[in-house]
Amino acid sequence: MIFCGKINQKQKNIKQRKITIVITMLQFVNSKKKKELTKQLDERFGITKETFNDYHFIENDEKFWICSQDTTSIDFKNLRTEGIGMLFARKGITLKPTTNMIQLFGNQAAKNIVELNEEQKTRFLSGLDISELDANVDSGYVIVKFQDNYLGCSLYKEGTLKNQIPKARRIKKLY
Amino acid sequence: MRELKIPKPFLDRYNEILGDKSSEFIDYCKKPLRKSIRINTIKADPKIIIKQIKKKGWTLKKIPWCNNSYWVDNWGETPIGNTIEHFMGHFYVQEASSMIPPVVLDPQPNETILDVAAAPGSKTTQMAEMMKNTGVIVANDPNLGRIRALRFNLDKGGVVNTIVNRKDGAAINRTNITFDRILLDAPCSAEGTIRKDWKVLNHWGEKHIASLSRIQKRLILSATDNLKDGGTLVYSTCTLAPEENEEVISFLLDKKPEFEVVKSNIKGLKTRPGMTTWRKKQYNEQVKNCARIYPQDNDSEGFFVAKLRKSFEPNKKTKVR
Repeated sequence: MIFCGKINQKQKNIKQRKITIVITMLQFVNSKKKKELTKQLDERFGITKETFNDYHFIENDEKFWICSQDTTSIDFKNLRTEGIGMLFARKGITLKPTTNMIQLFGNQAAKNIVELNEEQKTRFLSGLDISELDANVDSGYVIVKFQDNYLGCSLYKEGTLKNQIPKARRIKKLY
Repeated sequence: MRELKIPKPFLDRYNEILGDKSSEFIDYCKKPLRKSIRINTIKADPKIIIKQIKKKGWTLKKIPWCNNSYWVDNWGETPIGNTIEHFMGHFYVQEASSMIPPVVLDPQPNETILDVAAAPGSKTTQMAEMMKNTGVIVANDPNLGRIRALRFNLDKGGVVNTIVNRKDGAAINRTNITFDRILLDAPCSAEGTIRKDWKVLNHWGEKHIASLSRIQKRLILSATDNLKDGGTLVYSTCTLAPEENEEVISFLLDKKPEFEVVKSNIKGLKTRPGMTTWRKKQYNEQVKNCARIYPQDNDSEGFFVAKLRKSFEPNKKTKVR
């Protein structure tokens, strides 16, 4: 019994440590860093920094989240936080916006937008790459659009759009 | 065609509750549920979405108690989820009755809201939309798997005003955060959802109901500790068992007299008053102001909603056993 008790205490400590790590990893992005982040989006997509005036950002080593200003009024360290706001972008050599970010803010973009036709849209939503495209965009992450719908983000290189739609969002048979 | 087999104790229970009108209730339990959607105004303009949906040949009928929500008919072979509008998060497939608790709670922009049992997020996304994506919603759920579904739906809906929290709902009062409004859509025996999923009856039983009732009482006592004076709490379930509804509200009123049940008038919705007696138990008279929503009254799922207001008197913390 004592043995079991020790194990449980140890497990409890590990669990507690993991939670602490998750919480300390998340931190609010300060105004200087927010400026850098929005500058990248302006340079790549022409989304102006004013678009994000009413929002705050949170980050960890790998990702950025966007959240409403009022989320800062809550001391989330008192909570067992699993997420704040909406996943916005992944960090890397270049910033990779998420599908949901593009769907929400894509209409503010002015450049590096690839417009698909009906057939390409169906392929794209099913998770397939689109090749032999003649798009007037720079290599790298681009915004993919069909009519008024900003579908998501994709990687463009030498006439091919590499699909980035999350598996759970793909539609095999579109109606 | 497969026939729904309803356990005898279930039939007996509804004979007790509804008398000779119980057959109508049972008949509706066997009927398939109408599909319904709520247009997500965070991401879409309802006028444009309605136009696009109608082009598919679907027929839309306005749900009177919730803005921008519709029953969908004539969708034929088209799976509603396999459309570009659903991919874009422009609408959310949500049962018409499940839209009622947020409507009764009526969250306002810039407020602080607690959603005690938030997953999978239909009501949380609805509240975020009502708040115009401002303020903050603490969306809580104890189950990691359900939290994944919650986060998926929040992200897809473009919701940015939530903090997702994984805690036992009854332990939230250990934080010192206070909220303007609280939604407690409690885990329940789900009797009201039989039309959607007959499997509900496999888990149904008197013991199960009694055990859920105890959990619900713990949850409501804990949640009320976090409510600001003058704040509103909405308690809802998708069941019609009095032990999980009126009994829980009556229990709270006995423990915390600073709460009162407020009658909620919901536009275009037929409701019946809460039951003040059940199997020799006498409940607080105020439970009459709760709303029982029977499937046969609105051709929907069954639901129960109670709107509680906390007075401005000082709050005494109640110990939960």
